[in-house]
Amino acid sequence: MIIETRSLTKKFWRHDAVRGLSLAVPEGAVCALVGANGAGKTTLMRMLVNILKPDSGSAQVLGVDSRHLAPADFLRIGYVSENQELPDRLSVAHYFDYLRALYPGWDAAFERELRAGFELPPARPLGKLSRGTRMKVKIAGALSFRPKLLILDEPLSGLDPLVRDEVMSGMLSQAGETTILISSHEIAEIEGGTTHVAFMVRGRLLLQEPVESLCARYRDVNVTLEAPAMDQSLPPSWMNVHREGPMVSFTETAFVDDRALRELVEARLGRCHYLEASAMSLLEISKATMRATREAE
Amino acid sequence: MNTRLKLLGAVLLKDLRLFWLFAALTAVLNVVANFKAIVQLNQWTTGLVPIAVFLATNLFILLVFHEDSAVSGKRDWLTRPVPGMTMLAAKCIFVVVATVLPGVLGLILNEFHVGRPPVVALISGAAKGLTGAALLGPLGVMALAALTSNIRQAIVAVVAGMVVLFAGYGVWMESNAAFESGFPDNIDAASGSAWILMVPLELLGTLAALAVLWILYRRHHGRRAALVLVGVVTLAGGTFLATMNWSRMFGLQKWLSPDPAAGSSVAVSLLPGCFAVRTVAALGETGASAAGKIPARIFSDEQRGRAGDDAVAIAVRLVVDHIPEDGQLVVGRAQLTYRTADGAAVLLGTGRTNQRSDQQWVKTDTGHRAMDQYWLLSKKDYQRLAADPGTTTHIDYSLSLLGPRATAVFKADGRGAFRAGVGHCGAIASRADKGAGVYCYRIGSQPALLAARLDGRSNIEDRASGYPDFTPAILDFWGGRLHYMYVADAAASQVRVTAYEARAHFTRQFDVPGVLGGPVSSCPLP
Repeated sequence: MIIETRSLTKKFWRHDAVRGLSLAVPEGAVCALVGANGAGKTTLMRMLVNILKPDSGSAQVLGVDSRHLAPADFLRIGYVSENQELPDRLSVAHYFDYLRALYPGWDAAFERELRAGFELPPARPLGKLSRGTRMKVKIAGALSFRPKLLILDEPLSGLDPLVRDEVMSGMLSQAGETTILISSHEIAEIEGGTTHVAFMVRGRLLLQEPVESLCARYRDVNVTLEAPAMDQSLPPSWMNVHREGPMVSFTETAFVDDRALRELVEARLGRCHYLEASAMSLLEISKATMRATREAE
Repeated sequence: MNTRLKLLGAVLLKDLRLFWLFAALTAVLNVVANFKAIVQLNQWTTGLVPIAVFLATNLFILLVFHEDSAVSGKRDWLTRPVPGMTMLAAKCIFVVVATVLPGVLGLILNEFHVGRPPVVALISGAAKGLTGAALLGPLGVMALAALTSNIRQAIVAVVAGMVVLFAGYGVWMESNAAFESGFPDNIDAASGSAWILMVPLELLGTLAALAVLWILYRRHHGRRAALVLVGVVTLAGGTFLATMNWSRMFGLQKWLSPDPAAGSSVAVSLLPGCFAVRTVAALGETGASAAGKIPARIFSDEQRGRAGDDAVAIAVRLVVDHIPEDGQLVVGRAQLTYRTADGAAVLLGTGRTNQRSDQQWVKTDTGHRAMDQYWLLSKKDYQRLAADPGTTTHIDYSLSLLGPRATAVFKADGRGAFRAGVGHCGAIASRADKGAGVYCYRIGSQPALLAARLDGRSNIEDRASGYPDFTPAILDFWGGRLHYMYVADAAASQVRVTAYEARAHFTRQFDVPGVLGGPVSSCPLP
């Protein structure tokens, strides 16, 4: 695993920012960390790069305890954050001059390629760049030394769709060679290209899974029964169950195939007149999961 | 090592690109501020240059450190392969190059401008500009800058710190009547014991600043660094309050005497008869009195104003005998207190001495050494004291006996050479007035007093390079000092430089009836 946390906890005064979080990101993955604002994504990422120390638990990043990450480890780790402060009065060209000197493995050709692709104005001071262009500078600065791990904290927040696509395609050009952990409060922003997903709610990790298996087991199910539903206990794999007369809708989180689903529904609710199980997008899965969590709480 | 240097260079280049204009401005201001000929050009430059250099230097340090803050988690460098100590080194180098070194350059230029030979000017400028006290200021601001998470917070912290410092000092002065007892305006003037207060504070300040910077840049522990700072400030405050008392300070100084018995052989007495007295209004004149002269400018305008126009200036002469051959006596402090029959006390505080070292000691008619101490007594206090026939005058002298540690005799031919126990010395004859400027540069621990005179003359003619300083050698390890002395009539003669060390520190008390050295009827007001 490139990232592995165990029961990671961080408190700010009385507020639990991260609670017993255990996350694993395999090598080569593009892992989307999704959660609403205040879910603890930024705190988790700051702990991973040793800006914050965890109160308890541990985090291994590239095999090193995050608390003991040395400057040399950052030759292999790129970190980009929406909140990161750059030397505003430095020009783009001078900023890259500075970064280039810090990394022995800096790929100057790739840097040129990224800067050209992102259309970064070399002479303009960083402080006078638009939000999107600043983010592109940060991404180019983090990709040009070809890190083994790239941690991106809300890189697409507030960017217009065109810039968002440019930034995403820039990042994903490194996918495979670089393991990427990318956070967002809106999964639609980062859906394309992600291989793994982890949902965070109020400091807790709700689930983490490869996107493929997650999408395979989640179904949006709509059922019309021949008679109103029986009052039977429902399977734990059903979320957000909504009944209205003979019509029932829910999210199945352990879908295998249509036949097995029909058998399960008929055993619990009665004979089906109509059953439809639709595949869900990551955004829909995210919404369904969060809604279920809110209702449970 | 090469990687570290490369990283250091990258950070320095980045900071230079960001701050070159401000760095240049700060450097120029630091040169100018130490070049007295420019600062004292007129009242505007005298007032504005020090303020400008203070603001520019401190703001520059804050900006440079906040560019790559160690506290704020948002700074780019925290997730770059730059070791904290490399970042700190780069910041320190930039600050030293833009503020401290230009200050040293200014001092060198100033020394050269006032006529010192180039070598002497170079050594003197470096010695003055690179003292622990001179480096402590920037170091403190660096620590404060590193400890705060943004520039606004840092400015607020600096201003708040200064307000607290000045307010605390003011309250302390008022509540303890410290000013009236002559402390601290006289503490560093002649006593040689100021180190008891200053060295611990300097060391504590330096250690605290270094510890804060190390904890922040090496360990990244903001809270621990803040705790260290609070702890040290508390300790320093406690030390300040505990030692800022002359009797305690000199008590410690006495305890550190290498040979306490040596002081008992020294005979000191007050010149019999009435004290020399002048009204403040008559101080403009320099007429002789029974005990000598009361120099016109011995008291500051502020002191005169506080005492009132109808106050009188008193001169008390201390006569000294049985000083060991080649020994010197230093009057660290003389405190005068009047006591009335009913037990009330009027404290006149610390006596002032002639600021010119060549005019402090005089020879009496009997051939003894003597030194005058001066006090101001208000008319109101005089009338109250004179009305009480039981009034006595109590004078408390704190004295230090010095002995020679090493001597060097050489010609005033301009050639400098290392003289054992004294330092690298030379003397340059002045054709204009047949005198000679004598200089000695010494690294590390300094003698308690360094003085020069014509060879063959009595050591009463010693011309000291400054006030004595009894800092123990173990605490006097940093930097060096240029001692500069001027000996008159040195042409075609050899000069003798003596490095004195303290032998004993002791006190002597005298009680005299009346107010002005005798009963009011015998010693009336002039």
